[in-house]
Amino acid sequence: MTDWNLIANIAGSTWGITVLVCAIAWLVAWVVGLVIQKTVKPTTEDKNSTKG
Amino acid sequence: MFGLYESAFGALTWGNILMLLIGGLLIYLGIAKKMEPILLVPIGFGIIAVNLPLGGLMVFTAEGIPAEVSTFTGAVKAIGSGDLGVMNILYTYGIESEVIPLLIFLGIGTLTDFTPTIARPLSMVFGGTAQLGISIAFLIAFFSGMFTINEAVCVGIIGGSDGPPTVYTTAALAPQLLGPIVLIAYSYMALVPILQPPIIKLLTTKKERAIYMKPQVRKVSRLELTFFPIIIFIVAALLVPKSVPLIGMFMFGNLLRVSGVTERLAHAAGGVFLDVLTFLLGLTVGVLMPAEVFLKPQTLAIVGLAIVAFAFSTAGGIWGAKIVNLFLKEKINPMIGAAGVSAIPMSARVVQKLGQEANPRNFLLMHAMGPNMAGAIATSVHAGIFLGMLLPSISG
Repeated sequence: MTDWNLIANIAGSTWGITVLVCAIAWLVAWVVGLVIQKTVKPTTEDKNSTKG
Repeated sequence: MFGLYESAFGALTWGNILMLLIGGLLIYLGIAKKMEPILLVPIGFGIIAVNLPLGGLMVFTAEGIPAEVSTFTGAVKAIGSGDLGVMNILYTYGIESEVIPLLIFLGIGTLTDFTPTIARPLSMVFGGTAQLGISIAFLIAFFSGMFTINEAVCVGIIGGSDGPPTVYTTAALAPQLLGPIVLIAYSYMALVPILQPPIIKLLTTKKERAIYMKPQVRKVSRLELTFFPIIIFIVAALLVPKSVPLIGMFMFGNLLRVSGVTERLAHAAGGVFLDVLTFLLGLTVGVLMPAEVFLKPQTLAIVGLAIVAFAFSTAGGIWGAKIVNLFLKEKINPMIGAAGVSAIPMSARVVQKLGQEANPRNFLLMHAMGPNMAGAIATSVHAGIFLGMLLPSISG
């Protein structure tokens, strides 16, 4: 017998969870990036590196 | 007549002949048209090899693909007696065990530059929304009645446009479809420059495509580059534990690249090591396609469903960017969301080209590379969620 709950979860929840995980990763990466930019002085290597 | 005891002509079927033509076509496309040659040439050769009867390179039985041998001597004897082909061993211990796709992802990690994603972490969200096609293709595949749940998931994952997660998921959930799914996934990735532009144009206005973004992204320090793979790995591992093998290998490879002290390892993993694994993958996938396995209505259905998956993933990325734009003061060009369909770097190049067509001042490549890289992470997360749902749970 078809498990309709599973079908609905696969079709909807997995995508939603993926977006959520990516959004959480975005927030964490953004916060860590911000902390690093504010607290750590750029090294000579960083200064010499090209943008992008 | 030509062989000492037997010739293969008597065993050749029309299906074999058709597959020989398909194998030849793939080799032609790889060599003459330079379409994913690193994969299509070995796949094409593998198809030809397995469709020449009586060769015994890969043995199929009614139960599937035999390979389990207890000792090395047992394997040699089984190959010698024709019970097993050499490629059976490679398939079982390389692909079915997931070793080759994971090591390929490690190599790809060493070649991946996350700078654009780190410079604009919001790109991560577009990588996520651009997985929409996976769900849509899954639903259509399942309701078509041609696929089981596991098979429909593997058809859907083509929409992630990322090779290793596709191979990994399919080998785990529907190994019987590995050949057609991998072949179709890689073929469509090569066709992204043809498939995506009409979809992007359909879903965006010229005014939206012309939205200007400053060409340069901010500077990213080595420390940020080093922290990024570790952070992403920890976040993904805590939230979606089954994604650990994929994300772990991908991020470990990237850490080797950016740490600044493991260049030799990064060179090794991303160089000849990656090349060897890639042709082994291609050849093994090729020999999974004898006529009786490949020439089925399911294969044609996968061809159609893969287009649906690509189209909706592209749409998901664009819609994600449009929604985010509602909250931003400085609007982003919604086309960069379409690059969340990973297909690195083709979809980012498509966005760059369309951006310049709409506004010659626009240079969107670096902005599009952010979602492009994030798409690879998101597909691995999505694959991990599927495996968590559909595989029996294991501890540790």
